Amino acid sequence: MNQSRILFFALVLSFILFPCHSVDSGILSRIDAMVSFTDTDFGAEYLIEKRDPGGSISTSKVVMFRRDRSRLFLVLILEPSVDTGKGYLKTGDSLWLYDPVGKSFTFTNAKERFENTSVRISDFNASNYAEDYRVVAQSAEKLGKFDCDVLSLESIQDSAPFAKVKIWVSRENLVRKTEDYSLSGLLMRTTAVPTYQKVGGRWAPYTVVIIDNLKSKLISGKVEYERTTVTITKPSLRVLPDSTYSKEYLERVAR
Amino acid sequence: MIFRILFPVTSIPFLVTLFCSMMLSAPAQSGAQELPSGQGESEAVQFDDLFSEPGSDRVVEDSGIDHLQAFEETATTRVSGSYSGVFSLAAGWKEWPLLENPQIGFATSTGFLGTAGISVDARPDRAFHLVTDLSLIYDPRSNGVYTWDFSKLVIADLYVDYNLADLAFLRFGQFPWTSGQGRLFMPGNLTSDAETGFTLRVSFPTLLSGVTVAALAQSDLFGNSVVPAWRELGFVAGLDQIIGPVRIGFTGRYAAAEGGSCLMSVKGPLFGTDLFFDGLVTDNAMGVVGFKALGGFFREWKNVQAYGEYTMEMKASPFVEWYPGSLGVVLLSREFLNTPFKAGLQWLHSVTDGSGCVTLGASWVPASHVSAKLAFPMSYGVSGSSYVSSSLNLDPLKRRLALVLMVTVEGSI
Repeated sequence: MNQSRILFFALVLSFILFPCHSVDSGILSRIDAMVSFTDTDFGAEYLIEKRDPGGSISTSKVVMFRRDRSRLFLVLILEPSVDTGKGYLKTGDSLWLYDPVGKSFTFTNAKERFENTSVRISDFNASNYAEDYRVVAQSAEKLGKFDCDVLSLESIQDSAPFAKVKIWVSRENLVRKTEDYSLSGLLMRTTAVPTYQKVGGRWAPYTVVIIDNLKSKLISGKVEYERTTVTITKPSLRVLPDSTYSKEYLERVAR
Repeated sequence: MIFRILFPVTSIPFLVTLFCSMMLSAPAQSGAQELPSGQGESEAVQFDDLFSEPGSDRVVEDSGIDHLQAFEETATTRVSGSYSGVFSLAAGWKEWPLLENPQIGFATSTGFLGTAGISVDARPDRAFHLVTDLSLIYDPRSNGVYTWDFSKLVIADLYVDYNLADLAFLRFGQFPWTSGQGRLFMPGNLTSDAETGFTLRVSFPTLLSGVTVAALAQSDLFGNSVVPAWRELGFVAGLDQIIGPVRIGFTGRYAAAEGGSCLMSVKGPLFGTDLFFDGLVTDNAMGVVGFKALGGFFREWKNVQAYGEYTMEMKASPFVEWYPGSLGVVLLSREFLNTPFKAGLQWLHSVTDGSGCVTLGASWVPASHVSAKLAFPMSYGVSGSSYVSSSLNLDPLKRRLALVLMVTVEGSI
């Protein structure tokens, strides 16, 4: 009898000390819905600033067009001038690259990074947490001024950008912070989205800060990571011709 | 594209092609230095500070901006100019050096290549686009011999684009056009003569994953080039279809003077590696059937890219003959050992005659407008073999072993 009481109190105590959130299976769909533009196209200008460990900074400016309902996006580089005309066209899981100097296309599934920054090609995709991942743990945490649910995710699709992901989701169902892990559990990248912008009833990030946890140096005794800051401006919901999302269009507008 | 292989026909080309074939056109990647866990805590804490006073999320108006306009239409005609000067120095041996007398077969060479270019890009409205890109090349030598010919005019681009209601894109004029997937070996490039002739190409971007038809005109295709007949034109048709992660493409070409060719291209991923295959069947005007195949791979890691190709050939004239073909592998490091150097290794090998060339190379940017490249090519095989004595040895002096330094000064307005 005493053993049963001890077991009962231990269980009660464990629930008090370690409150366990039940896994909310619909939350990933709600997250995706908040940032998906399914009834129109989404276009915007992206200013991408990369700071190497040690301080050297490089900047590029691109224009991105996205058609979420068809899983398409097109990225055209405006600056630096040496890369002007380079283009990326994503159709489903595959990518066309256009090199205006060699005037040739490359079709690839193996390229992950965008223009030598911490930005991944997959970052331009429409949010697809519900199809790519399942929630394996959920807890609550305060992240600065945000009350967040912290979700640990495991990929259920080979095409998922990372094997494991941890996301901090604020009360508005917006992802504020992400940690991307390899299958072995190595932290590869940390992403913060401190501010969003709402346009046409949906949300898009306004500022994104990415730390590449695999690229670091000891500078004056302090660890510095490669850090990329993305600022997204001039959002536009203008509907574009179907031909925009084609490799022929990439070639036509390249300079 | 992985490799940008240029084949200038002058004296510097040995140096230029060597490096151009070594260096990727893709962007650089910095090296990674993994640190023991915990050392990055200070920055991680600062990272979370981003959420302390992040500013409020904002509601913004749909800007309604037509971002495409920036690419499709310009108020003025853009005229730009460029200049580049390439200085080179090479030293090496035509045969393997002898320790007792290293001067035997030793040869040095220098070179200069100047290129001045002017381009005009006009987009008066969304339907019309004119491009002219001309270069004047100054090279005192041709194929290793001083000819002092300073007047080589090269038309890189001279074409007009016309957009037919976003349904068809027309391009006519002279322009580079590459088919096939090879970058080291290009047996599937059925459209290379668009660079030197006149081509009318019509693309239908929304049909499948792209459908293209074209007619090519150039002097080689006509029995009498003074009175060309339309039946003698070269005709090309191609289509692409993407199925899941796999791209399948077909390109066909027919010209009365050369017969027909059909190319099938397939590319897809396997365990994070791109694999590709080109199969080309030709039936020339004499009725000789041939087959060429190309297979290859591309893989990218954090700081290293690897690329390889293998090509082989078969001819049936009148008996079936197989040619074992060639092999090429390239490794590239975008940031070599935490230095500002990019480094590469290229190995080209002819399975047919056992010759080949191994090249180690490095490049860096010492100052604004200046780039420097250093290479160490080594050709092996018996004398007279392809990578030792033929045009596959890009060195006009046909050295087996050389050290090459090339400095480029370039600018544009």
